Amino acid sequence: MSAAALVIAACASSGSTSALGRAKVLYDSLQGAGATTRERVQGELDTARAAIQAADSAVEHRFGEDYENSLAHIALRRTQTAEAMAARAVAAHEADSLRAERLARLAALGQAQRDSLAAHHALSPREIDALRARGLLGGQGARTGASDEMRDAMERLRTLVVEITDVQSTERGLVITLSDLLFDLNGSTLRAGAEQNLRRIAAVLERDPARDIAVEGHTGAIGPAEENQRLSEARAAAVRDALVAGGVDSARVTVRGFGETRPLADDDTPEGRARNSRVEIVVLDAGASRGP
Amino acid sequence: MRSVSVLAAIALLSGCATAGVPFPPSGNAGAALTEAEEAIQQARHAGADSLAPAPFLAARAYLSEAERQARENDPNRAAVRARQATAEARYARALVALTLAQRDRAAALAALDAIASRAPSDSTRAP
Repeated sequence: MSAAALVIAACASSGSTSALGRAKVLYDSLQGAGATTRERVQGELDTARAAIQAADSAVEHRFGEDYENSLAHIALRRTQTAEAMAARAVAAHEADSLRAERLARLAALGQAQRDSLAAHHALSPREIDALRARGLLGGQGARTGASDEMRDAMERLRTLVVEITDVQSTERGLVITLSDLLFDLNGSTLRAGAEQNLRRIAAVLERDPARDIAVEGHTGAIGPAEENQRLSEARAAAVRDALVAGGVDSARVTVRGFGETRPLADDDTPEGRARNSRVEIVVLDAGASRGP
Repeated sequence: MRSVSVLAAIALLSGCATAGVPFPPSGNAGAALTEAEEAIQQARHAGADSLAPAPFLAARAYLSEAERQARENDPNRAAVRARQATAEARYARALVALTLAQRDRAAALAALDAIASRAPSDSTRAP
């Protein structure tokens, strides 16, 4: 936001109509985007629409310029938030496509080249896992993780559910990592739209009802450790509740919070904090421990 | 420099705004203030102070304004300002998420380029 825009918003009679008009144009363009984009940010779009309606109502009832300007700018920000989240989803989808292309090229290399890349730490753990699963990397047999069908279904779901940041086969089972964008504010309340996405995940989990599921919350290290512990437990419980509401048998699901004790990355950077603050859904292999 | 201008603009906004007509009933100011504080804290945690400084500073300025208006017994104006703070903070957080996703995409592209430069010279060898 420019300084001039704020001043205009506060003092000029055209402020509310200008901001509200921009919000409506932007909202319409997002509604006119593809169905996939709309689905990805439906919660944000619903919030933006409500804000636009509130701003329209303020203008209609002539509550005064300041009030009208304020609500118009809330509407604009809410709509811009939806726009940014839609762009984020597109970027994440493109990154996934690039990784898939890289994996295909790795598969096309010779065995010696792949083994050399692995030996020089030039492959990500996810790539190593994927190549081993296909028998394309030396020294390892087939995967021990969850079914290919469920893994592939979760990978497909990533293109639609922006909160899924990773799907990985591990020794414990299939780990689906969810970002803290699931949650509203700095708490454990699921944000608008998140429950619907968790129901989609639940539908995939239901394809293999024999497997137990561990839902595990993690946070970054900012703030008191006790508070982070509590937050991680509450977030894991919120995800468990949404999965159960989506049809998963509650007897299959255990919940744990690890607070800030199991970081994935350096907590001093935004990227690191974004990775550390997460909830993991582990589809446990038969015989795998419910605790890591 | 931009951050300073944002704060200056919001200060001007406050000067214009408080001279206006009273706001209609706008909900619970206390709850709106709490929500704004949490939204700002979460945006800061996400890295908005460095990755999306303009909306992040705007959110803080709106919150300060809301707190002042609450102290001056203008709960309706305070509630609306607090909601503006929340909207700014949520926007800042979304911009951070977008920035991180774009960086991730750039990293994925660089990784693809790195593998693309390797000719599959021995790809015909049996694994």
